Amino acid sequence: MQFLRKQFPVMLAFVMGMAMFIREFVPSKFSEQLYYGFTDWAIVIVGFSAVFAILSLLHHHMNKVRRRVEGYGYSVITILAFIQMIILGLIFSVRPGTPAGWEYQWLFVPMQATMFATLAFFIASAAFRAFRARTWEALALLLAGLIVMIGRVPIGEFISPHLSTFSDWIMNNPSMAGFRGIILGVALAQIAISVRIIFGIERTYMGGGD
Amino acid sequence: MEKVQKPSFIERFLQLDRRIIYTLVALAVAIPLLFPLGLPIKVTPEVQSVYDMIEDLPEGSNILMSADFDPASMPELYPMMKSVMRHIIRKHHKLAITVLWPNGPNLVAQCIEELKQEYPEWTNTVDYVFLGYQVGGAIVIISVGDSFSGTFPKDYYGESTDGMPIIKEFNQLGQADYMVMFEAGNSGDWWIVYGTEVHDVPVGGGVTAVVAPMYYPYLQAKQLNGIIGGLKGAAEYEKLTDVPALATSAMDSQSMVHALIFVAIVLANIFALMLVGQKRRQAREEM
Amino acid sequence: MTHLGIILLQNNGLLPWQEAMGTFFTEGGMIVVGTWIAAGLTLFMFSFVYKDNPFFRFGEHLYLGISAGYLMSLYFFNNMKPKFFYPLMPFLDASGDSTLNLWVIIPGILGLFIIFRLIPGWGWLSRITFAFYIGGFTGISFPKVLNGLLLPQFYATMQSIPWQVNSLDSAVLLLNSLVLFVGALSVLVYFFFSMEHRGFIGGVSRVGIYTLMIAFGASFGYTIMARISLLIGRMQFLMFDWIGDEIVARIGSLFHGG
Repeated sequence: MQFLRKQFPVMLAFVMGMAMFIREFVPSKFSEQLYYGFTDWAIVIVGFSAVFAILSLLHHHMNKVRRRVEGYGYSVITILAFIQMIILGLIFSVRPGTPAGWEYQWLFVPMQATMFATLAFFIASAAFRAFRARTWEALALLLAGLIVMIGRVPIGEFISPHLSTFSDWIMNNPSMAGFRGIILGVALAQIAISVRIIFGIERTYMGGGD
Repeated sequence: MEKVQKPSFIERFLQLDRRIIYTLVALAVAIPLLFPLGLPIKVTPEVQSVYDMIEDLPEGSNILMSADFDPASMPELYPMMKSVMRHIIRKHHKLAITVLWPNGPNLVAQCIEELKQEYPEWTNTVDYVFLGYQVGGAIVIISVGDSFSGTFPKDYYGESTDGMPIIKEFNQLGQADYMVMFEAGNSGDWWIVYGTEVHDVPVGGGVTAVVAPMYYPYLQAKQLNGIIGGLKGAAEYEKLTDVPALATSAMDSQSMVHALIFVAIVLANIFALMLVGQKRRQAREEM
Repeated sequence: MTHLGIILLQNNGLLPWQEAMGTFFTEGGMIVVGTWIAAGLTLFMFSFVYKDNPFFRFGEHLYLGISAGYLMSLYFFNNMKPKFFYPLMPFLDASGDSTLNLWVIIPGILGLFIIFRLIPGWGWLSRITFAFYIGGFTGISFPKVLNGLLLPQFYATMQSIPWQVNSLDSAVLLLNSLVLFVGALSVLVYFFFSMEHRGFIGGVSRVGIYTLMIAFGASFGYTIMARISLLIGRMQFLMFDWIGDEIVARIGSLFHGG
């Protein structure tokens, strides 16, 4: 049992990782089948993990109700909303024109969109309060931010065409260089972590699972 | 008894109640929506490249579209998706649509319905196929390299994709002559790394403003042929297709709020500097 | 119960009762009801701007429940049914397009292992699934990231430099290319050199910090654009779809007898 819990997963990750890596350099019918066979299975697995994510959310809210934690009434709302939605969804599907599709359009869409729209107020207030040029680095951040913010909308072009040209230059040169550095860094890190996973040095992705 | 000093104008300005800022932002959005200014919209080369690609492809070319967003970014990406789809319909290209974000497919369905009102001859399964959503992100991208019908056995409407007229000619990512992706996150990176680079398909990106700067390195490396960035990009595409709609009407509000925040930040910085100067002077006088 | 399960699996959402619904949910009264509910919920969510309150919390929890129910149905229709149940039991697919594929039992079992995490004492089984999935995906992504991301991005950084300058344009191009080359490399130096940032390395990483600051500044400008766009979207809905079409137009039609 201990072998299945500890060593077997590490060995399996190694075998799968090496098989998928090596097949990349061995073009053949079998290698194609292995590649697309894996993705076909993976889609089924990810489907189950998506269901797991939702079940955990419900589990969390059911526990809150069971323990009568403060504000558990809100969890009751979540559970009831879930139950009615899944019943309607499974019977009629969630496409437009169905009861669940209607709920998606008139309940889900406005709530999600508004949640993110409120950030407009917070970002404006935060920019006013905290966006100060206290150091040279902050000054660089501030100037780039101001020029891009105003130069990328029609009013920037209206004030002066140079504003828009300068903001284009920032986007296509220094800003792009910064993000290029980040992309290169991320790619290098991804490759390094791949090696660590395949060779069993990195195991945190397996989670606890007692 | 120590004299309590009244805060100066500068100090009061810097401590401005957040509710005043919120009200100003709301007004800067609302007023131009009611009384449009009609500020001119300049088309940037990044947006022009996407337009030119769709325009210059021979009629009936295969285009893959991936709508990877949800209602949270709908105001930005929906108008641009609609404009691009309208352009594709006008040019009589074949269109396959996938979705990698679970909360997105109904938005695409809505867009299709709206466009069908404009173009009733645009036929499902012949001119376009809406493959819908599949779970898996990068895995789905790899999988459509093999076949659409294998990855999406049923389309969004529950019909079998195998045997559809459009699928007979266009059943793989590699068969696409062009791809347009609408991205609210990093699934665009996946499309490039696991999809378009592998199958050598040119791709353009319609992206939210938050992620737009992160896609510029791909543009310079020619891994992307163009970027439609945020609501402004959407307005530019509306201008190119000659159908001004939601994005165009929103541009004046966008400009006003940007100008408001610009002025607020500049004033706050000038006043903060003045306050530092004032305090230094006071300290010197007290010494 | 089993019978109900079979009905659900056969159902593709196009059952006769759905046709009977016709345009009930897409036209007329349900649009009016929908608009008013959406406007109310929009205001509930906006109320958070003032402070946290029961209306917002109600909306937040309703959103969670609806979202979870919607996703579960979607996963069932788009993933579970066509990719797992139909290959396992092709007779359930009314279209007759599915073929038997017993191999899906393996990913099905691996998928169940993940759900076992909810059962105390069984959670360790999910490690096998994660090892299979992450291990395989890592093997795929290693060469893909190398070929599709690292190398093209690296080449583009190096190859953009024009070494011959014979006009003003090419001089500008050279300058821009150097900004890119020096900027990108200095960011990498800032990220990767774990030694103390002093001397030459210190100078280079300082350039890296400034490059990053400009990038984040530009990103900030764009983030403002994004957030304001979302606010505009909601305001357009409230002002035109709700107040304009529902309140002003309806009240107006009362007075004009329309």
